[in-house]
This record gives sequence, C-alpha cells and structure tokens, in this order.
Amino acid sequence: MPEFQIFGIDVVKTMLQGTHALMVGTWLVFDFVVYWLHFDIKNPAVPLTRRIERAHVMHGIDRVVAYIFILTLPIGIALSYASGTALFTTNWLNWKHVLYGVIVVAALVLIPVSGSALRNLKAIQEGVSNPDELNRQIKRDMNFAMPVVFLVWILIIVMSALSLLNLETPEDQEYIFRKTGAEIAKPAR
Amino acid sequence: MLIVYLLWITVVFGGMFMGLGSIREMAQSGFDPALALNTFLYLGCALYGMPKLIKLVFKRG
Repeated sequence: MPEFQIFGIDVVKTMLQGTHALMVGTWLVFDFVVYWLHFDIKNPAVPLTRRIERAHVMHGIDRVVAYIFILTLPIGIALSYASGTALFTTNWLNWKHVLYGVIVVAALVLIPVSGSALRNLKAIQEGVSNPDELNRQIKRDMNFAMPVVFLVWILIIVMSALSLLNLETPEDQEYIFRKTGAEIAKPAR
Repeated sequence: MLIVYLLWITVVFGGMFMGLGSIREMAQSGFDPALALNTFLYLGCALYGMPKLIKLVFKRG
C-alpha cells in the first residue's frame, strides 16, 4: 500500500488507527450510558414522560452504535492492510476476530429487541388498554438485552487490550507512531 | 431504512469475506482453531443474514 507521510508519520495508518480507537471508545461509553438508562425505562414507578425521554436517548444512541458497528469491520480490515498486519495469518488478530464474531452474533440477537421499549412506551402514552402487559414486555426485553450489552462491553475491553498488547511501535521512537530511521530504511514489502 | 440495509450488507458481505478468507487460509496452511471458529461464526452470520437481506431488497422493489 502506498504510504503518505508527514514528518515521518504514516498519515493513512495513523488516521485509521485513531478512527478505529475513537469508534471503540465511543462504543464503550455509549454502551455504559445505555446500561445506565435502562433502569428508569423498565421501571413502571418512574413518570412516563421521563421514561419516554430516556427511551428516545437510548434509541438515538442505538443508532450511533449501529453505525459504529457497521464501520468497525471495514475500517479494521483497511487498518490491517495499511499497517502490514496480515489479516488471516496473524494469530492474535484471528483471536480478536473470533471475539468480534461473538459481537456480531450478539448484535443479531439484539436487533429484534431494538426500539421495542420506545414503541411500547409511546403506546402506553396513547392510552392502550393493556399498559401492564406492555410494561412487563419492556422489562422482559430489557432484562434479556442488558446481559448481552454487558457481554459486548466486556468483549470490546478484551479486544482493546489484545490490540494494545500487540501494537507494533518502532523501538526508540520519539513519538507514538513516528517511524525510526531503521524502519524507514527497511525495504518496502 | 438506510441503516437496516447497511447492517445486513455488513453482516452478509463482511461475514462472507471473513469466513471465506479463513477457509482459504486453512486450505493453504492447515487447520487453526481461531480460523475454524472465525469460519463458523462469520459464515454462520452471513448465511443467517442472506435471506433477510434478499427479503429486504425484494420487499423494497
């Protein structure tokens, strides 16, 4: 892959690394916010307007997390090419992909539950005849989804640790990601 | 609606890319547990998502 460097820094690789890390960081924070919000959403004792407001926030966060989920794999693949890390022959990366595969399965499990709380809360606000049943459904969906969200959170932390422990940084570097003279002198792959 | 399309396209095509790439690597270099798990997980997701994506495309058409 052609390199575009400024002051010895590989711009494409560093930008992909930064975007990848930023996306994962955002995903972690947003998953935590979703977990924190769900307590009020599933609680019938909390005022309905507050529950709906929180469900709106959760729904918005879900959409952002969905875009992050969609972009993480292609950006990760592009990063592996840009950094010269072989995609299928690097052992630690293969295990990281296994963990991401579990996240994909978790996402498929969560898709049917996504947005159900907001729909049910709006129906309760409109005055349906069975609010207790809808409240039970909200609680059931939330109690089903949150352990999966928690699992995703743990997997992202493990994957981040795996990446950081295997991060290729040149020895004797002055700054992170700045190439050493020895590495610049290396013949191109 | 765009997000639904993108989601299933990622699951199906990303799953195919990762799953088939893992199979190809195992065919060249022999069995590896991580690659085998990748094949199972990603191809499984791609096969699960394929009918949903087809249904989504044809339903829209």
